[in-house]
Amino acid sequence: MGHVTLVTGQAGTGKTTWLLNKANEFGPKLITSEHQKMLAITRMHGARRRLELNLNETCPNIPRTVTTIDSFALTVLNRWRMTIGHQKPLMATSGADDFSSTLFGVDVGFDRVRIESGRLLQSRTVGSIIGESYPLILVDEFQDCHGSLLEFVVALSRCSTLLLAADDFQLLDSAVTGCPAVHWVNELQTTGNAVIEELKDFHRTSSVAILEAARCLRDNVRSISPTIPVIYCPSHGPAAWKIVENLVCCSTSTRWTGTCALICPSHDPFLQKVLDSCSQQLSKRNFSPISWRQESSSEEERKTIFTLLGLTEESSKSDGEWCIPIAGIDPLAEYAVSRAKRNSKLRGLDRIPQNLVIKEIDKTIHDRRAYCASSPQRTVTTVHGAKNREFDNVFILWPYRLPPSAEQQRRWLYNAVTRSKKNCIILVLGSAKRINDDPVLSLLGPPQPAFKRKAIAEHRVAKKKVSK
Amino acid sequence: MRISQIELRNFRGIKSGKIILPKHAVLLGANNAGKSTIAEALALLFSRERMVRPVSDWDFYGGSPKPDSRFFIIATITDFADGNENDPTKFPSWFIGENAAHPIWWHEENSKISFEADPPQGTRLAAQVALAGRYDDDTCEFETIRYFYYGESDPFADGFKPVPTRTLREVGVFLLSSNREWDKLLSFGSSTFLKVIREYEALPGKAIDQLKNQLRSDVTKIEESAPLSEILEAASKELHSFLLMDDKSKLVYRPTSLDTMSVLQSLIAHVSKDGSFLVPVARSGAGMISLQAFLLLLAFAEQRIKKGQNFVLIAEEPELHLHPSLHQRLVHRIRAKSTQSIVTTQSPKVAADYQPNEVIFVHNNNGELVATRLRTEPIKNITSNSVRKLYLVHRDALYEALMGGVILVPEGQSDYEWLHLWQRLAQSSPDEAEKFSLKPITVVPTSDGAIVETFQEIGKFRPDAVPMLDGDSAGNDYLNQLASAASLPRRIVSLGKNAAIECLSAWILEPALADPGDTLKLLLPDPTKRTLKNLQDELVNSTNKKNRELRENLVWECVNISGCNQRACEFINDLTAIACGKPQENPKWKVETKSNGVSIFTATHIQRV
Repeated sequence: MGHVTLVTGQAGTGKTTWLLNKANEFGPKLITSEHQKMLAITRMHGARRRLELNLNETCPNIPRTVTTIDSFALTVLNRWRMTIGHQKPLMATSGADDFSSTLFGVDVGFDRVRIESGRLLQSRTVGSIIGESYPLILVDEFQDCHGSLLEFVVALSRCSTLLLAADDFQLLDSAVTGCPAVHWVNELQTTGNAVIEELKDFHRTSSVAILEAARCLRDNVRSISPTIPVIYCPSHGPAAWKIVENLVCCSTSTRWTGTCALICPSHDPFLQKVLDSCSQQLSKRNFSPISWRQESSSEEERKTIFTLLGLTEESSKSDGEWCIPIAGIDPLAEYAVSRAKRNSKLRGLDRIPQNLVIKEIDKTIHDRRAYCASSPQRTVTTVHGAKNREFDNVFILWPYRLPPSAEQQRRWLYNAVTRSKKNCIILVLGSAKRINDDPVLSLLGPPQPAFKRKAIAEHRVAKKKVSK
Repeated sequence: MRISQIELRNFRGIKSGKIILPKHAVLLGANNAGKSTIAEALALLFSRERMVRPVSDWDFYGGSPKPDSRFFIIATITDFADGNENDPTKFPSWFIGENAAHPIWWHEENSKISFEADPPQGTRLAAQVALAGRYDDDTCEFETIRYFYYGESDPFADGFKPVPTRTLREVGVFLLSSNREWDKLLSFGSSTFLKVIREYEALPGKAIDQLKNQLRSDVTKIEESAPLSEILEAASKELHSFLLMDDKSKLVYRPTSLDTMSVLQSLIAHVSKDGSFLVPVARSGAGMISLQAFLLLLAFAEQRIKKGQNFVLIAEEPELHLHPSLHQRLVHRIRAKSTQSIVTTQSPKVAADYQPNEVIFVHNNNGELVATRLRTEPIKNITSNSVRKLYLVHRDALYEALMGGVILVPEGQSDYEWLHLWQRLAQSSPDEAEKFSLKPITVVPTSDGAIVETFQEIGKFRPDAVPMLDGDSAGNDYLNQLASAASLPRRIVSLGKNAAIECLSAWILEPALADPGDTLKLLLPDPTKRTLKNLQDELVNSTNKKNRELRENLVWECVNISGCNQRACEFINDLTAIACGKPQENPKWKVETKSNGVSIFTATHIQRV
């Protein structure tokens, strides 16, 4: 039975750093032979990417495998697939419940992979082999693990030493109550098999306003000292103005510099209107437009490529022939096409079936999202996309469509606010009344208008003068 | 470590096949049965491709690979730490790490594999590695990959990581191929030789350096001897003017390019007799070279085993070029000096030196490779005395029979001996032989009339064997037993009414009665009594029946009598045709096919008169 160490703390307290330093301490003692490695795993690819970068910086001398938990579970399952009675390779897909044969192998649901893999780990032989191959296992963003995923990590804890980092308040999954992952470690601690270290100092930001806002949201109390501005915007225009004002139009001394993120719940039309209005306002004032890097969801990317290549959702079920369109296509689609060609070649098919192309497109998009890091200057993203990242300045858009419960809204907002290092503003669609009545927003202090009173008064006076 | 099982799919002449290998094995089989294929498959998987021919079209079953054609060679390795250790973590190079083997469990008693996660009682740790090959028709290239086998898959489609060569070398497989290119084997260009030298750390580095220097400066400078020197001088001048080369550079000749590898490869092995007389190895007698190279390999094996490393020797036809008396010693040296050995042979004598449970009979059935161990249980378990005799007394004759083209299972010893003699006659008569296409028949040395038991035993490996029966009541008994046994012969040959084998001989000898030789005269002194009936009576007579000298002489006297030759050839040819399943054209044979598919051919022209 391996030992478990958990480091907890609020956002920005340096959990990842602590984790990696601990790895440097444990690594040389546990990883002694040339075949052994450290296993560093996370739930999502975004977190995995960042963990990999951090490892390269902080732990360059520890041999390691960095991957997602699901990916690792699948590798283990594939290696022992003859034990569970399957000859053909297994592939994890969402949607498949049980093992179903396809042209390419056997499809299995993610849940099933975790369960079967975890079961394998309980056997003496498999457990000892995995334990010996990976004597030290690192899990970042551990709070994201629940259900079958958590069970799998629990199974791993019986084979090797575990180092975990978690913040229960950052678990955004609406279906889960409490934080099962941290709960499990707490239970272990009572039997003496786990050590929990809590970090209290904030490292990411020194801005009192941001820290106070984070505290209020976390503890669900009203603020007593000033926090970040909560601005009510009757429409998208004023919201866009606030962005433009802080990034471009104000004087150089007060202008916001550094990286900037615009965080909004996914797919809200408010976002697009705000961005369009930004461009308009800037061009009206003869400024060059701000270029935003929009991190789209994989669904959208998929749809774009489908249209480019003349495919629809139905095509995934058909193996009718697919023809390459004559018109030029973008590099990503081209890559997917070349992969489809190669794979049909390897399988000896004369014509390329549609479901094969779809499979390759999915794989290409997935790989690109998983393995291509990008850190642009100005990003538009969702809270999920912003997880574990930090930006100098953050604009949070708060439209009408939000996560259902107040608890989740609080968590969502907490995660968004704690991304910022220097400045943070919340732009709420609606009136001041909305802010006052909202259980979450009202924690953060009085609502502020988009335009200052002085400016409005002047404007009225000027209007009066004209009409006279 | 030991290779306990090898599975081939779509490789060369084998569409599919699985062979279980004991610690020391001999593969027995006719030509093109697949013995070499198995040997080379192992060498291809475990060692460098240079030991075997490079992969080509013919390595794929059918010979014309398509883009999705694949061949697979899958080997199961067991006996890690001699079978005493079942914990995979003790063998990190095989089971630990990101890319490692799937631990499986080998049952020694029934040669089966268990795939459970934890070892069942009484099993040994095992692992599977595979080699897959494909053909890329765009680039006309062949691609191979050696990987840990987790189940059926296409290792080329999904990024598979190959097995590190270091791990495969631990198995220590060495192939002594039947292509004995001896001078190459003993030269520094041979990978086997270099491997041996490197293992011993015996690469003569300093000597090579010295040799290089000598070749550079100490050797006779051909370019300085006239009139070559003048020609070279003129050529150099021309070269300078065209290439704008430095005036100081000129053309010189040396015995080899002066880098280490070229120097090494230019060294050709010679055999020195009395220190002064040097003969290149290529020109020595084949036997001597065979032995020397072979013993070099065995010395290497000894070193490896001393260091606790594995050595698996695959020797193709080790008896080549060697005196038969050496064969036995050879086999025993192979067994003594290797952890595992696999020998392929055409010689029944070599095979006879192995236990029957180490002899694997290999047969290619239209692409299905069938490899059966001759026996899996001890010989004392055999109930029939005659069958036991086959294994204990007549082993090489049995093995020879099994490798033959056409197998005949007679009733007993005298049938066996008469048939041999008549076959010899048929084959040595020049004219007659041309009229018929004769395949050699091998006859099984049945004893004591145990034809049914003998057929059951032989039929396991050669279901195409043909039992041959007398036409008498005993013969009919056997016929009925055979035609309703568990494993049925496809065809049965029977002599005519009440006829015994001597009647066959009498029929063949009949033309000689008109002008008998000395032996026949002695047998039937009275010319008026020289009839077929009397001849039959004499031959069947108990004293004469056992008289071998009489038989031989009778047969040899027929050599020049064309009537006898003709009949012998005809009969032998008919037998061969029946055994091969060809339609019987000779009307003298009566064919009866039973409801269970067994065909009975009766020679009506051979009867007891």
